[in-house]
Amino acid sequence: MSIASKQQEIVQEFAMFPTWMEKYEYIIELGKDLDTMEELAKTEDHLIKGCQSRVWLTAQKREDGTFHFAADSDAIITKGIVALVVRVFEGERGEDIVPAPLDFLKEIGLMENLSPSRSNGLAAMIKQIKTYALIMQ
Amino acid sequence: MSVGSDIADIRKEFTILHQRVRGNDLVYFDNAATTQKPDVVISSIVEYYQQYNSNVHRGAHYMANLATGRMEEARQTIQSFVNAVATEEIIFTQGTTDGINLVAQAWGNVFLNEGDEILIAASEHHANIVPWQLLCQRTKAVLRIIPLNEDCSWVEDYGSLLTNKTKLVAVGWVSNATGVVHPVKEMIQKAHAVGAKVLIDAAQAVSHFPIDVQDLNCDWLVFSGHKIFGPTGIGVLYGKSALLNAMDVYRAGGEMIDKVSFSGTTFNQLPFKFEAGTPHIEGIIAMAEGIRWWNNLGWDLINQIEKSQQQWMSEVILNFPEMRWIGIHPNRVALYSFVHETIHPSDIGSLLDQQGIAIRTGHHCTQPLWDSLGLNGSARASLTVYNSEDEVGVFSKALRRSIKMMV
Repeated sequence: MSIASKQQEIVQEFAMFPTWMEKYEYIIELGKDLDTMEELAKTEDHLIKGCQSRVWLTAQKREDGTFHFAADSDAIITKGIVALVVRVFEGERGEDIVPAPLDFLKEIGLMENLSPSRSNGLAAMIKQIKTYALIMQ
Repeated sequence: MSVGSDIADIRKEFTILHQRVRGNDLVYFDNAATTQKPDVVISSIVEYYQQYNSNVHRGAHYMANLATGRMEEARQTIQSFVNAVATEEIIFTQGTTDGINLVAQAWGNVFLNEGDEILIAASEHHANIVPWQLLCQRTKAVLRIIPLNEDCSWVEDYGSLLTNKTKLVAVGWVSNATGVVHPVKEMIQKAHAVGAKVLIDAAQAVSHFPIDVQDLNCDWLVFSGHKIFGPTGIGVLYGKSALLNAMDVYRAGGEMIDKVSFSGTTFNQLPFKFEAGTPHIEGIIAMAEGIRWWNNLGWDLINQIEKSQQQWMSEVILNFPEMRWIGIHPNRVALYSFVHETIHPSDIGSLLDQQGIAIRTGHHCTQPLWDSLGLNGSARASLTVYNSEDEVGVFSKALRRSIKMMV
């Protein structure tokens, strides 16, 4: 599934929840379902700067050129949002990840709904994913 | 006696409080960050710009005279609000942070030497830490810290940290992160006994109890207008006049000069010595309007309301035993910092926000405090005179719902 169609899928999922409290309930579920990262991987190097809560992100480039991301957060809503972003980019190739617009965040209204500190953190995380995709050979 | 109808009357004076946020009635519990402004304060700004906007102290016309008069009237309002001896002891600043920086530069650079000590507490706001750290770097003075008890009050023998090397004590009266009220009057007496000067950060104290700088006998006291129903970008530095006179000039420019020539410049007298450039005229006028509005409520009613709010909130505290409530000390204001064992404060903040409730989450600009508590920060609900019992109930229910969603 392409980056664009994965985003479309997420937009449709969110449309099923009429209120934002329900959308948040869903985000929290996604956060709970996301695999926790090994404690050993939660290093200062993997920490995303600019988040109120702590977010760790690691990237791995497979033999076939696709990327695998692992992420975690000490805040459950953040972790749910992180899970959405990771889902979009998981298994994709660097040349597809770098230019991809993340329209789903706007389309589901998440950007406007987040506090300034959270949306700054989200932007920092997306930038980090794209940086990994760009520099990892 | 019930304060419900008094609060209802007060709320009528705040247009901003009557709105829906994300489909719910707004509950504004972020008053320690900034208070809302009553309509009279907002009108005073509009009036200034519609009726007598002029530069002050120098114009040769009717409106300039009016604006100057209103600005100096504001200084008198502040003078009597803090019970200063003279209006020249009231310096208008950009706010608490600006006042502290002014003292660190204009006094600290001149009067502090290598090996001298500055004493602050572990609970200080960054604004009352960093200017002193920088001053210590410039002068090789040493920063000393009052440790805290488990309930976030100062350790009992804080006085033992005062020595003949202590030249300055700079302490917050009420902690913005814990709500604990610290014994500043005793501290001032002890500090003066070793010859140290004392600066009081009254940013959080100013809207909770009366301030009397003569009774306190502090050397400086700073606060911000926006935490007491006035606009942002304006605040007050009170200083004893002898001390202000002895201090160096801070910012240089118009108004603060006496005579300028290329062979040398002499400076204006107090308070203008410290007020370079065109001041924040409408901010000053509106800040004084906010304080007059506050004075009209009267401390009896204000204290009665806060006492009731503390009772309502103690029920909330009892209903949430799974929370760690920070700074549960007998002497505190209606400001509540709390941490859940497994839920991140920012998650609590987000879900309360979805339910129309405004609180603050994070470290509240007091990172050393959280380090000492072994925490990363908290969620903080801070109340003021317009917050009702119903709102406390809404807060409690919404908090319960938020926690249920996450555990």
